[in-house]
Amino acid sequence: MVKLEVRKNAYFDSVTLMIISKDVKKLPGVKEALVGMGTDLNREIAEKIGLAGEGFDSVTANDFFVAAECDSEADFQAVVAKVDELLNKKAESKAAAYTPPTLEGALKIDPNINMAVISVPGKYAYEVAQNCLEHDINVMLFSDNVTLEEEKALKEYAASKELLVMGPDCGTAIVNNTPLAFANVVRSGDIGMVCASGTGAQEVSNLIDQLGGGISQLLGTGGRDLKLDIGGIMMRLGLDALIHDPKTKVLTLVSKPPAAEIAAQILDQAAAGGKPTVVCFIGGDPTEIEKRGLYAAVSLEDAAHKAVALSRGETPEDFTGFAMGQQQAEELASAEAARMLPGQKYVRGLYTGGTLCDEAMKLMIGKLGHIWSNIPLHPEDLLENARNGSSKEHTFLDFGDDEFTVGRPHPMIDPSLRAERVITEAADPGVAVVLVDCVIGYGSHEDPAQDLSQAIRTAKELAAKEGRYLAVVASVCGTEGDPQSLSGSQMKLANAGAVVLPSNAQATRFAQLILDRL
Amino acid sequence: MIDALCGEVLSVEIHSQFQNAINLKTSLGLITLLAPGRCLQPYSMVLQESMEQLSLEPSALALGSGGLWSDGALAVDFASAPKVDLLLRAGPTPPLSAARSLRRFLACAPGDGLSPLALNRVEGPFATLLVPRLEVLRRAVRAGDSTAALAAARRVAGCGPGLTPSSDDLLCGYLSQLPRSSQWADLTAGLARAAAEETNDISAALLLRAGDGLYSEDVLALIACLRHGRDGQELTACLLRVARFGSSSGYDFLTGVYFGILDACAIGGIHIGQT
Repeated sequence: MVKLEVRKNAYFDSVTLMIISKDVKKLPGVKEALVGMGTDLNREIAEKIGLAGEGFDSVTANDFFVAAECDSEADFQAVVAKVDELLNKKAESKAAAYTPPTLEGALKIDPNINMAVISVPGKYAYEVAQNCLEHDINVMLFSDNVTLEEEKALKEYAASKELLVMGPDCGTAIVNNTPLAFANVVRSGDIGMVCASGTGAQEVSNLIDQLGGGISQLLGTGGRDLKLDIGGIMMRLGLDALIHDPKTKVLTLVSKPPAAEIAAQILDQAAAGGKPTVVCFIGGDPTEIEKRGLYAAVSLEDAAHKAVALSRGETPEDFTGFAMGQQQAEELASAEAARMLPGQKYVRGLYTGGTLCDEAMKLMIGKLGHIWSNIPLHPEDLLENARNGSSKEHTFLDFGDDEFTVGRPHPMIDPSLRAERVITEAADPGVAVVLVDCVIGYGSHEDPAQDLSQAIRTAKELAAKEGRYLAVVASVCGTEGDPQSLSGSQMKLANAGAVVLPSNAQATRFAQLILDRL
Repeated sequence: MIDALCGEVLSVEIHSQFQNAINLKTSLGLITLLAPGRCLQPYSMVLQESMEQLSLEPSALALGSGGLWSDGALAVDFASAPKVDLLLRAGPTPPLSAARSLRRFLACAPGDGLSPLALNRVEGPFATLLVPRLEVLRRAVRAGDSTAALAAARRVAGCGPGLTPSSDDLLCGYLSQLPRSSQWADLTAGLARAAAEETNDISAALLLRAGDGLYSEDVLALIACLRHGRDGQELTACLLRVARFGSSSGYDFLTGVYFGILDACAIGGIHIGQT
C-alpha cells in the first residue's frame, strides 16, 4: 500500500530531511519511500516511482511530505513515528552547541579553541590542518590520503610551535579525558600513552581501564610517524609532553616496530625521561627496549598489565596466560576441538581493527608458519582479491584496509561486510576456527555485537547442517562505560555460541589452543 | 536590505525557524536572521549573540532600517551593524581550467546531491528526471533562446529532497556564471523568477536573490577566485566554505557553477533572443 504523510507549511533543515530520507527506507516493511518538499517536480518523481497515493494532489511546494510504499498500515505508522522521532531529536539538539561552518567562524565564537579534529577528503586535509596550526590549534587529523611530504611539513611546522599533529589517519585519542573519534570511556588516571596505532591504542587503554588503571592522556601520532620519512616527530613531541606532565607517572608507547634509527631515538628519549615506560612495538625485538631499562610488552594486553602494575608501584611481569586460568582454557579448547571433523584445521581471522589483526597474526605466525592476508606479515603472503575472492588455508583479513573500504564506511562503523564473511567462511569445510574482534565505543556502530552474533548463529547452523562444528572465538575491545557496554556486547556474542575472551591476545592464544588439538 | 528598507517600518511574521536561522516574512520577501559566525547572505543579518538569547514575540514584530522590534522593544539593533554589498558585478568569465578544478573538487563530494552530474554520473530518481531537463535549459541558454530557457527553468526547479531542492541550488550556482551585461542580466532574473514559481518559499527567495545578482559573501569570494583563475589553497578554501552550506546545497550550488562556467565559455558573443 502507498501512504502519504504531509506537514503543511512545514520547513525542516536539509540535514534533517536527508537523515529522514535515508532512515525511513531502512525500516522493515518499507519497499520505497520519498521525502521532500511538495514541489511539482518532486511530486512528478513520486508519481513515476508509484508513490503518488491518495491526497497527493493537495500537497504544495511549501509542504513537507513523506510518501512510502509499505506492506501494512502498521509499517507506515512506524514510518511516521520514525519521522517524528528524527524531527524531535533535531528540535532537542537545537539547544546543543553551535557548530560553525568555518574555522574563522569557530574562532569568533570561542577564540580559545586549541584542538581541532579534521575529517575532510585527504587532498584538502593539509590546507585545513595548516590553517589550524597557524592559529595555534593542535590538530587531530582523522583524514587519510595525505602525502608523506605534506605530513612531514605539517609535523615540522607543528613541532616548531610545540603543537600536536595527531595523524594523518589518526582514529583514536583521549585528551584531557575527552575521547576523540574512535575512542572509549576509560577512567582518568596516571598512565600516559603515545600510540601510532588506532585499535592498538584502544585495546591497551580499555584493558588498563578493565584492570583498574586509568589514562592521563592518549595521544595518537598516525601510523607513519615512526617511518624514516617522518622520523617520529610526533612520537617524540608527545613523549616529551607526557614526560613533563605532572599527572602522568607511567608512559606507554604503542606502535608497529619502527625503523631501528627512529626506535633508538625514541627509546633513548624515554629512558632519559626518568618515568617508568612500557614499550609495545608489536612483534618487535625486546632487546633494545630492555637494555635501556624500559619494559617491553609481548602483546597489547601485556602492555596494559605492565602499565597498571607500574602505576601501582608493583614489579611488572609478562602476561601470556588466560584470565580463566591455563587449565580451564585448555579444557575448553579440547572440548571445542573434539567436536570437529578430521578435515577441519584452518583458522580464519576476520577483523575490523587493523592493529588487532596484525597482533593476532604475529602471535600465531610462529606456530602456523604461513598466514594469508590482505595485510600480510610477509609480502609473499598477500591474499589477492581479498574482498571478492576466497580465503585459503590460514587467512586473516583486515576489513578496515583500503580494499574493503572503497565506497563503504569503515567496518567499525558498518560491520556488515565482515558479518557476511563470517557466514561465507563457515561454508568452507576446512575451517575449524573463526577468530573475530568486536570494537565498541564512540564512533563505532551502535551495536556491532548484534550484527556479529546473528552472523555467528547463521555460520554455526550452516556448518552444523553439513555435520561440522565451527568454533568462533571473539574478543570485545571496549569498556563498561561505552555506550554499547562491554559486558552487554560480550554476552550477545557468547549467547550466539562464541567463546569470548577478555582480550585479543587471549582470543588468539585460545584459537591456537584449538588448532593445537586438531 | 538596509537600502530597501529606506526608512520604512514593515510588519513581520516568522516564516520558519531553524537551529541557526530564522526566516522573517516581509513585504520585501524573506529576510533572515543568522546565528553568529554564519556567512552573510543577501537580505540577512548575522547576529552577534546566540539565537537562544533572542526573544521574539511572533505576533508583534516590526522591521525598520534601525532594527527589528519585538513587542515594542528593540530586539536586534542595526545601528552598529556594518552594511555589506553582496552584489555580483560584471567580470571576466572564469577560464575552463576553473571548471576542471571544480570538477576535481566535486569528485570528492558526498553522493547525496547532484554533484555526480559533473562527473557524468546519473544516480537516483531525482537526477534521472532532471538530467534531460537540465540539458534543455543549458542548450537554450547557450543558444540565447530566452523563451525556451524560461520554459526549461520552470521544468528544472524544485527537484530534490532537501529544504532547498537540489535543482534550485544548482540553478543558483548556474545563474552566478551567466554574463552580467544588461541583456543577460534580464534573462538571468527572468530564469530565477520562472524557477521561483515552481518551488517553496525559502528556495524561491534564494533564486530571486540570485536572479538579482545577490550572493553570499562566501560565494562572491569564490567567484572572484574563479574569475582570476586562482588555484591551490585559496581556491580550495573558497570551495570548502561554499560546499559546507546546508546538507548537499553547497555541493549542488558548485555543480551549477561548474555547468555555468562551461556554458559561459561557450556563450561568447551570443545575443539574447537568438534561436
